[in-house]
Amino acid sequence: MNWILIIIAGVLEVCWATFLGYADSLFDWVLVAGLMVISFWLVTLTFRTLSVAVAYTVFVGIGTIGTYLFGILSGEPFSIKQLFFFMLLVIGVLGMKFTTKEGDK
Amino acid sequence: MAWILLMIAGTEEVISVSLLKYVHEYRKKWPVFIIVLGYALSFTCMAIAMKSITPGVAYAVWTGMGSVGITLVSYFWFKEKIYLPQVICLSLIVIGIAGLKLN
Repeated sequence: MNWILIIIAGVLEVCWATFLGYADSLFDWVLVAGLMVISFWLVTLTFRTLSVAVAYTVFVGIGTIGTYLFGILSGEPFSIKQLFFFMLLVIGVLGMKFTTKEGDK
Repeated sequence: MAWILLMIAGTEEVISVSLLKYVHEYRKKWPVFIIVLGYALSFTCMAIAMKSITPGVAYAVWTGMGSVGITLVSYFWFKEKIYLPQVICLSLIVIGIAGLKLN
């Protein structure tokens, strides 16, 4: 359950981080702020059973994975070097999931 | 000067995330105010720092500082357990994010 919350929080982070670049009206800014608050709130929910270090790093990691993939999909160039670091990041996030027992903090 | 601002931005992030724990775990309301203010200050400092430091470098340093700082707070302040495999995964995530931003 905790991991689902972190994933949703990470996806919301990607949404507001991407949308931030396009926001240009009051409504847009309110939307960005709202998404920001919800994503952080979801992460704090997991602090009861996951350690802060694990929850927050995975959240930031998922955010970066999503933003990077979105950038590639919208036509940004990518290099082999980037792909290497991208793989390290994905292995780190997945590894964290499989080496962490819920409630064990 | 830009580097000092970047250090302040990183420290602010660690403080804000640490306080997030108080909001939920200890059901306190007052940290919310400091968290919002802290994040605003953190982003402002980073935006100014990015004018003289390459954004990729600035972001990588900020993420690294944040993650390492939060892990230290989690272990020493909140007394949360952290195991070697988690430390390895944390390092992979930080290296991955930093590498992506630098390339």
